[in-house]
Amino acid sequence: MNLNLWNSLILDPMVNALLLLYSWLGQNFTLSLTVFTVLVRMLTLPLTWQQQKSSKVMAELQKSKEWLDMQKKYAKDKQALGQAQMKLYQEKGINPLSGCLPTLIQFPILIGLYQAITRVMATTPLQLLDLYAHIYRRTLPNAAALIPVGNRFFWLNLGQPDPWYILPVLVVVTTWLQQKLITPPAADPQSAQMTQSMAVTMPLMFGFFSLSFPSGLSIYFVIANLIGIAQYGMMGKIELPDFVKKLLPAIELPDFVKQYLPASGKTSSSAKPSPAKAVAKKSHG
Amino acid sequence: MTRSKFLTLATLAALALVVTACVGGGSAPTSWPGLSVSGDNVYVAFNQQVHALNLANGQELWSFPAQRDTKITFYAEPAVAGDLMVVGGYNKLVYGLSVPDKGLPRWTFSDATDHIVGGPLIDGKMVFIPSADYNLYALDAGTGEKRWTFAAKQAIWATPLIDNGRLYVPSLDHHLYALDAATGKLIWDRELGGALAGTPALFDGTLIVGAFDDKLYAVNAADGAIKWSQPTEGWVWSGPLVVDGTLYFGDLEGWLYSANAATGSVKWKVRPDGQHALRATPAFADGTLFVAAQIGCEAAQYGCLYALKAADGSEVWKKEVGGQLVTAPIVANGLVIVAPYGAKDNILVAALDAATGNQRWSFAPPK
Repeated sequence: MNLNLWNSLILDPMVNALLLLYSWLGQNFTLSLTVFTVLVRMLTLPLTWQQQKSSKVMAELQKSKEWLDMQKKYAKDKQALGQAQMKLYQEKGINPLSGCLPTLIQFPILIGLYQAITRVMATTPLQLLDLYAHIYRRTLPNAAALIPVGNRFFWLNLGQPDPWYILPVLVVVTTWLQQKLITPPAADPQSAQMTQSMAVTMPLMFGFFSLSFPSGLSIYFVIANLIGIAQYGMMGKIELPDFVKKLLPAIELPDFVKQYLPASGKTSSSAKPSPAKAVAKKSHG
Repeated sequence: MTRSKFLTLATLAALALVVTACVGGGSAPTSWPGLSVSGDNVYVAFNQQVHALNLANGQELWSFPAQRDTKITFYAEPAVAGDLMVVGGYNKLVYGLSVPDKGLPRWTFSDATDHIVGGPLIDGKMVFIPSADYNLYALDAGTGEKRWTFAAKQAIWATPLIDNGRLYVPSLDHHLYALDAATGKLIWDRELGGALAGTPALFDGTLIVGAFDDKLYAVNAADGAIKWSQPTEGWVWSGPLVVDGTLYFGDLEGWLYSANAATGSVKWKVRPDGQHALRATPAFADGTLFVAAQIGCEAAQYGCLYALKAADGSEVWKKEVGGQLVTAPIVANGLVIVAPYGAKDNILVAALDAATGNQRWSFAPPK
């Protein structure tokens, strides 16, 4: 994508939305960052759900007897195996790439979000000079009053790494937890090995980033992970705490959300079975 | 290696690349070069080293540290007085170096908890260090020992100005502070409409400072009262240049202004080549202004140095130097010294003939 187009469509709107939130939320950057990440994740929620549904269907298929028999039958002929797999996909009406598209659409949004945060934090002169070029000066006339954004939060200087290493630890723990919760069970030993290596490498890698990156970004990693965990919780991927289940009937949620909630109390009687439970039934049945 | 393992590693490597690129990690510069001239030498601080060059021919005299250290980066302009050079790093340390001993360290100051972005100020036996940790540190020039600290409410990126025992300190917290230079005691404090990132100019008892609220302010040095303010088209990052009662300054929308220093009224304004940030204070010699534009020269990604008539802003010559120009140019010995960043051929400093714009020498640090 052309850089100007990227800035106009993705980065600039995000930078200005973040500054606007900062203005509305008492010039508290951590709060603005949290609300902004939640809003962006809400916008991409339908895509996340679509992606999860697709990966669930694929995982289900890969556990089926048909699939396993096919693997044995064509173990020595990769080409024939590929053709047989494609045929099976067609028969079942599954597009093996359907899980990739939502990920591909989300990717630029998440990169844009990430870039917007680093731009707005502007901890160096070059970043602040660059930020100027991204501000909608006519629609955000009070920008001068907002800049630079406040970079103190409890013991943290948001422009510097956490000197007490608390955030890197939180980043590792939440990334690991999210990986653990959202990764579907692997169908074969090779995939299982890959999944296991990702589950260890990813948290360590992000933890390593957090050691040297501004702590504002580490806060973003933690928030994004917690939101990711909450999203999968809402989709019935994990068991929600009792107090959350009790609260749910009191909250009027849209139908498209209700269908993914786990069965509990009054909600369970009206809600459709969650996809996760449907998977469990099918795979053990 | 199995295909799946290869894919995992490739994905992680790509992710690491994207993430580090997004925050300007690795060795990518996070600011522009800091440039100063003292006597027959040019000093430039950029990335891992500070270089001392011969003003006449650009030959390197010494560098500090002698070997690059990836844990240290310098961007603030070095301050030199007598045989002492003081330079602050992004590693939060301030170094007092001996100029005759080719940059041999005399002392190190390590109390700062954030980057040193602004250049230090040396005044007699004192050194004043602005820091991004919100503090201004006053040190003993001989030993580097701390004398006092003044805390602002945000980072201090600008070199302070000293006059008659008073220190004037602009801060990104939108305030201009007047302090007693000997004790650090606050004399007055004036809140302006935007962040202050440039050193004020002093004219006839009036401090003139640019702000990020698209204004140039004149503040009474005696009591901090605002005398006048002049609206501009964009943020005014640097302080103005004052020559014979006239102010010259640029804004980030690319406008260069000439204004009456007593009243702030604009005499003329020009936009040399469109909307290309004029961040730095212009330089002046023999009726000519030297103005650095960040980008937008013939090759759009490179900056231009403009020589303009101070009388009306008309162009005398312009020169592309093969990099972005954000550092303020300096005129010395008939040369205009510029320090581009991101320049082709790794050029860090170039000296142009002030009369013609022809390049006389350039310096690229050894790889």
